[in-house]
Amino acid sequence: MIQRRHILLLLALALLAVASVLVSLTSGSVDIGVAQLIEHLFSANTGLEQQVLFDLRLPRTYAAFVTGALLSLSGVIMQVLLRNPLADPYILGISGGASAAALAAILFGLSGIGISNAAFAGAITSIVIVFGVAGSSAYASSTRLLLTGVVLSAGWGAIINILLTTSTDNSVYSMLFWMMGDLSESHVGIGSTLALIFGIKAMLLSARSLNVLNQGERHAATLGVNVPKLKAFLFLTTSVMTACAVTIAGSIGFVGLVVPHMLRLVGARDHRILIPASALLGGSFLVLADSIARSIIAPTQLPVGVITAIIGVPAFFIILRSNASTQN
Amino acid sequence: MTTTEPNNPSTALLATRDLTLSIDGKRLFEKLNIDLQRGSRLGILGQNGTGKTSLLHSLINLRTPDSGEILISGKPISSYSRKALARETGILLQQLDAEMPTSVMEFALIGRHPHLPAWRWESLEDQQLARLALAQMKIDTLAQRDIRSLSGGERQRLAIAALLVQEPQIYLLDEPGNHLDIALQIKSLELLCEKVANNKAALIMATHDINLAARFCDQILLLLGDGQFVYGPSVQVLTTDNLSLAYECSIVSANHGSAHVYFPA
Repeated sequence: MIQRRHILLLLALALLAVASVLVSLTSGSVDIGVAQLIEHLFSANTGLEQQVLFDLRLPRTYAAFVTGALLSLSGVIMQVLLRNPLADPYILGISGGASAAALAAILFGLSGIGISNAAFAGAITSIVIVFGVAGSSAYASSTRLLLTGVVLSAGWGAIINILLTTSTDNSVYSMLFWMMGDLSESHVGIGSTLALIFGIKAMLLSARSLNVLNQGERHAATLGVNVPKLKAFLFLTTSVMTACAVTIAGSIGFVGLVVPHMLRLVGARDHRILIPASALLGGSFLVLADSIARSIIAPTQLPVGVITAIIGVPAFFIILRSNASTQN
Repeated sequence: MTTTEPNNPSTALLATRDLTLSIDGKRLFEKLNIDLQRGSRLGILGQNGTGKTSLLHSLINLRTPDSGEILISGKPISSYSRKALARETGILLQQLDAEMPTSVMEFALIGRHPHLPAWRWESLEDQQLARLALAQMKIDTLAQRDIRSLSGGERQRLAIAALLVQEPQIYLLDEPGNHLDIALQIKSLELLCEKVANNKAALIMATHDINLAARFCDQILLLLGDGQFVYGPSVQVLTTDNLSLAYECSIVSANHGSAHVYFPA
């Protein structure tokens, strides 16, 4: 039976999601209040404010929410599958592959959708290499996968550095922005939306199995979990979700690592709660971070990855401290 | 060595046919034929490294034997899905690999996993079952504690409670007395045996404690370590000669009422 505090938590997170979207739609260089916002959303006028709203802020808010949700869901699953609290969506080198390919695309003068396609191809290449080298995911041990991922990331890092040092001055700037994670030119394709929906559904259906898997693979097998099949399926799903997130917004750090831990610390350890909660909190978190990133020193925009860390680090410490004091 | 002929295999809840198992090239036992009827309790005894745990693991399909078959209700275990197998067979493992934060109650409830469809939450009955098992193992006051903060004995009691919640047909116990004081050893095995009798289930326990096996089991499998074994009713297998041979140490027995107590000479 679902517990009352879990329902309250999900309700609170849903409210936070709504609030974050309102903040995002009303903040920026053109001033639009909440009352005006509702008026603009439902009127047929096509003034400047509507244009700002429909062409800039809505797509960007949507991109931020989808990316944040994808990243924190991938983080939840990677932490369980690799049985490592430090695991994040990028730990298997997916963002490294995407970054290297995106940077190469920037260097060759591609822009917009060209960079996105290159990033997605780089992410998929990375996934193929990790599972190809570590062995078929069904039997690969977590340590082996983790090592392969870390080593591959180092390799991508070297390629990225070569690209950065040999490129011309003005492309270095956009490369750095991309690597720090940036939503200013983001575009969410139907593929990423589908990846998020399918991913949430698949994870919710395996949620109780994930609870069991948390107690160790052997124990999970004796309780009726087909461990190799579940792991292979979830690795594939999260890899594709991470690839989508990286393609949308570059490598935004911190969300995938910390959002799942924050929720576990406030008591959402059951994956049937943790999964929807992560999608909501991850999405809201990134939407809020992006609102700050583009308005704090407007018209200059900061990369959103910087803000996620600046808000996330103290928030995480506060939760960790209060959790330790309630346990003692 | 005595090997009993398969008797009436159709009614056996668990049976092995010519089961042979080795680890790293070392033959543990050859052509083992066990027939476990509903309601019966088998004890596995033998020195360290003779394959007690490996046998239990192969009975729940965690390890593939070299050759031979394992049948549950007449069907080979390979024909059972993991989930279907978990409704038939449950195991008390020697150790829990608990690293992630989980409460005692949450841990007990995952025993219901094989009985529930993927999308279903545990019902009130499932929760009552878990609460009852925790109370029976006297750890109900710890229900909200994190399992990583439990003592060895508390963990063992929790693992037994989770097995009671799972309610399988075949209970496999790997060293059930580990970390438990004498009173709790007897109490928890009495509880498990009562469950076996009430549900017409069966139980197999691997243990180092000859007296625990003698007290609770009606059949004994004595592994000799060289691929040979002695299998039969407890009274026939538990002789000082057999035990001395198996443990390579002189073992004598004393009578206490109608029970025998075994100890090294």
